[in-house]
Amino acid sequence: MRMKRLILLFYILTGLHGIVLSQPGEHFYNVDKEISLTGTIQKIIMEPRYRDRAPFLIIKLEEKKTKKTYTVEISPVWFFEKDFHQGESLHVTGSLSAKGDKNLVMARVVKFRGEMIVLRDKHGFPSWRGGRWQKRGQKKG
Amino acid sequence: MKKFFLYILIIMIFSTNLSADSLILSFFQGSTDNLFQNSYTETDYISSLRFSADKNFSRLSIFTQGNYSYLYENTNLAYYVQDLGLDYVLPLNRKAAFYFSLTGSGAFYRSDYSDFNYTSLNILTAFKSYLSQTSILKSNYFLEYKNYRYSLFDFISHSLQVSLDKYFQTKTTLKAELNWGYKYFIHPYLTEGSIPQEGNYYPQGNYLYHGKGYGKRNYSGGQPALFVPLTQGGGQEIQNISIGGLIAQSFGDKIGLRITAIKQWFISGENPFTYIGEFYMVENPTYDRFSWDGYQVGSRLTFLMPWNIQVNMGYNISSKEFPGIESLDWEGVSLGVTRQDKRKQFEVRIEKNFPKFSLFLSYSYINNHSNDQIFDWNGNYISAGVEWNLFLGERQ
Repeated sequence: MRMKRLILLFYILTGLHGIVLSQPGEHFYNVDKEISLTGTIQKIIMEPRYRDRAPFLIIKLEEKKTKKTYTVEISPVWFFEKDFHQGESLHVTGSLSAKGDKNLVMARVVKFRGEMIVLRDKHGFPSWRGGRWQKRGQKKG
Repeated sequence: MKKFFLYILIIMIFSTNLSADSLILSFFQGSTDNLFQNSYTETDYISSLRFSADKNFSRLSIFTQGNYSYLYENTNLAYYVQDLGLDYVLPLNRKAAFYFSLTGSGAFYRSDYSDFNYTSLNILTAFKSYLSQTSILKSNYFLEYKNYRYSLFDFISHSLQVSLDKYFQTKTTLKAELNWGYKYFIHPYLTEGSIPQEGNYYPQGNYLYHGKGYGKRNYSGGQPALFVPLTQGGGQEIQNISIGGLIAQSFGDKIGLRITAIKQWFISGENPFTYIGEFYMVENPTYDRFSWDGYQVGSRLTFLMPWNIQVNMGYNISSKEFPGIESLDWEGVSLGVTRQDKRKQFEVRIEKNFPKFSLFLSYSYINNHSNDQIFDWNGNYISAGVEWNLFLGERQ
């Protein structure tokens, strides 16, 4: 009984049940369909992507080699933290969506201006967080 | 047994909504040869353990983070800081959005710095809009209230910032910003009746020294007093304005260079403390963004090396005058001039992200030349750390 309680406690504290119970939404990160591409930003918009979630920052990216346009899902909060502009060069590693828009890429890693932003872990679990932006107001000096 | 499974069911139902979406654990190990950032060089080693977690509810997210730091030589300076807050993103249309956050914080230092223990409340509202696909307008308002254990430092501040940027086909970004700040120390003066009988307070002219039992700054065998409040009227509020600019140039997606400059002026008021000691990692009530008049120029180079190692190098210079803060001699007697500092700072940070964790290594060198000899110093700061990322939410 004591062992079961310990397992239960661990289960709750780590939130692992969230993974066990999680259901994929309209589309989900498929590690088998991961691609990398470098392109130029064509358009930046915010639009709803998931039920009960904040709207996402979406970037239309034209791949340099093929001139094909991809729709890249970034994340909700980064809209405020990073300033993307049309014409900027962007390198994206992400999963090509299984259904719907064939050129939809769910970004896992974004590189631009010499910075690398990790948006998801290698399994596709998101790493964006709330509360990041407010720290900017507390700089010393 | 049935009861046990009923508990599991109830807990799972509730905790499905309460468990964190992400949990980040970090450990940093740092060392410095000038802990107090003054001419009394003090070497120490610092270990920091940090956690942060958040949970998203639609457009709202709740976050918390805690940070415990332990100092090996100055163990009575160990401290813990805890933040708890929520933020909310409200999109107006496909090009503009509001951001709102509310944060409560508490910092708890061990005995030597317990006067700096505080609780605070921060409110941030921000607006960001793409005027065109190559131009962004941003504005934000930040309110901060801090309540210190030693109430002399209590303050409320307001900051307002507006910025506009433009990206050009040459891969250059130009940005201009305007800032306004106001800081009000709620009760910064000691009155004769409020001078505590206990503790280490020593009158010196119009000042009171408070510290580890030292009547002068230049005592033998240790650090100078921590701060010197006035016993008669002076500045209680500070209002300033600044203009800033940025030029950023990217060279593909792997190299970025940015140069920033800011010029700040006092509009009214002055600092109410004539002198205050500094301490690495402690937010000093007088040495903050409100306290100075002058300029800062900074450059930063970011680039990605092979194996996706990120390198971030910066060099900054500043020239600041601190209205209301007087330069003192070694005995703590006023020199009759306002404190002025010229600072040069070099820093480099290397970061490598692995699938589950990240490694950091950073070094900075600061050279601070001041007309107050106590603050004529230089120091080296080295830090290394590891950060574990545990993503616990739904996979989307």
